[in-house]
Amino acid sequence: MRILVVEDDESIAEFVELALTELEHQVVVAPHGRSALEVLERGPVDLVLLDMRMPVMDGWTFASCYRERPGRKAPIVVMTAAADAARRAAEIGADAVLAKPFGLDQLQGVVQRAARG
Amino acid sequence: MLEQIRTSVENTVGDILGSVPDAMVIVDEDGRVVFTNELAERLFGYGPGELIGGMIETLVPDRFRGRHAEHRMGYFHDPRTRPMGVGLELYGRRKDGTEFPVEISLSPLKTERGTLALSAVRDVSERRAAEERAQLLIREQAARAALEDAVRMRDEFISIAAHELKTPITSLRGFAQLILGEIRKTGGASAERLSHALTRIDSQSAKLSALVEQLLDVSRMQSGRLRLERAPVDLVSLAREVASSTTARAIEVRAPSDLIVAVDPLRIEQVLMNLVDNALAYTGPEAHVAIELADSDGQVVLTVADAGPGVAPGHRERIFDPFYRADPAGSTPGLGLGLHVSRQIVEQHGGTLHAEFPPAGGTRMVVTLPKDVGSIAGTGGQG
Repeated sequence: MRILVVEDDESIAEFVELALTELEHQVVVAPHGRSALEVLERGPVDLVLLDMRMPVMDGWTFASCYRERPGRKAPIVVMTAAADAARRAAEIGADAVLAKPFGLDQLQGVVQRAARG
Repeated sequence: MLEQIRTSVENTVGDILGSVPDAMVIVDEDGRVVFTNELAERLFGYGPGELIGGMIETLVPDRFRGRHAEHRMGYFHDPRTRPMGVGLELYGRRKDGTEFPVEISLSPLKTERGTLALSAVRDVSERRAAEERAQLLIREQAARAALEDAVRMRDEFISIAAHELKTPITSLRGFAQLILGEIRKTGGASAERLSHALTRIDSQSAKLSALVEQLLDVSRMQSGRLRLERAPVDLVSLAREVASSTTARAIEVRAPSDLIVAVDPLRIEQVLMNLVDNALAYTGPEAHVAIELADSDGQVVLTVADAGPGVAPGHRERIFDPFYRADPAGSTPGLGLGLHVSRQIVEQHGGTLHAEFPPAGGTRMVVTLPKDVGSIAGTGGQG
């Protein structure tokens, strides 16, 4: 799968990238929503892992812009440290949520479920 | 003589005073009671005529009697209609010794036997009790509001702290599990991958530790337990060290050759780091950031200036509040405690920290520190 990871924390982004590369997915990292939209201009992805609080463009704005784009939409998995993670995910109509701090198994499990559709 | 005065009063105003709704007591210049109406006798718990001939101070609580006699003599020097004891809480004393709050109006009463003082006494127990209940209610409401504020602040504190702490924890856990997974699968991990993961774990632990330290600082400050370890410090060297440790962007330092001040070096470095981090976080990657130091009028002025967008006027008042972040979406990482903690540290040094927003743009965070530590001896050494 081609997976877009939108996360401003460099360390978390790298961990997610390494964990998903291990599962032989192709990973593209964007540090904020605007950069993620630029990635999508260059080609579609199969899954978006999305942080919510980011500089330049946050997760809410990215999700809204992404939904307005024409074409097929990839499922979105929200990665959040908020106490009400499920509500955050529901706010943007996400398909799943990864509550920080998530472990390797949870990350890989969510992605594998998304891959199965 | 007393009987004659009493008769004179009875004849002139007795009927009127008997029918007014207030307790009325009339005394002569010597303070002897010459007349009371029925309401006065009932109010003070005396029988008919029982007060006549006694001293008016009988109706005053013991602790006020001396002063009352002086005031009474003063009244007869300038007898006019006025309230008694303006601004004071007055009390009457019943025959059984119990006290009650009163309001008293004094009027002179001219008779052929001389000037008398007419006191209209009103029992204000109920009104005073109602006022006290109202005050109590106001105090209770204020206390409840303060408590609710404190609870809201605490919840906000916990929520923000938990949010910020989860970020480095995610990395710590993630890199540890990546390496563990590799070891379990292959029986080992390459030195390169191990070194990389451990470097991440190390840097994220440091970040976590700094966050915890900042939270503890707030707690220490709130309970007055932050202690300063003062030593002579060259602030110019300190500023240059902070500037050179910031790898994200070049920081200009404009300063004289040295400026020695007795401060807590670790705490002042923390302040400088906070101000520089803020300047970097809230400005674009190209914006100029400078640290300026000057010796001015017995104090050191340390300024961190940036050429960023500044702070919107509506937010300027709040930037030193705990947990406040200029970025409303909360997208800039951090607890929002940097400026709050910095100001507390500077104030404990006897200095000030304020923000300036020049018309040309940018933000200037200005710290002043007294050079003469003797002038702040009261806080020196422990803060």
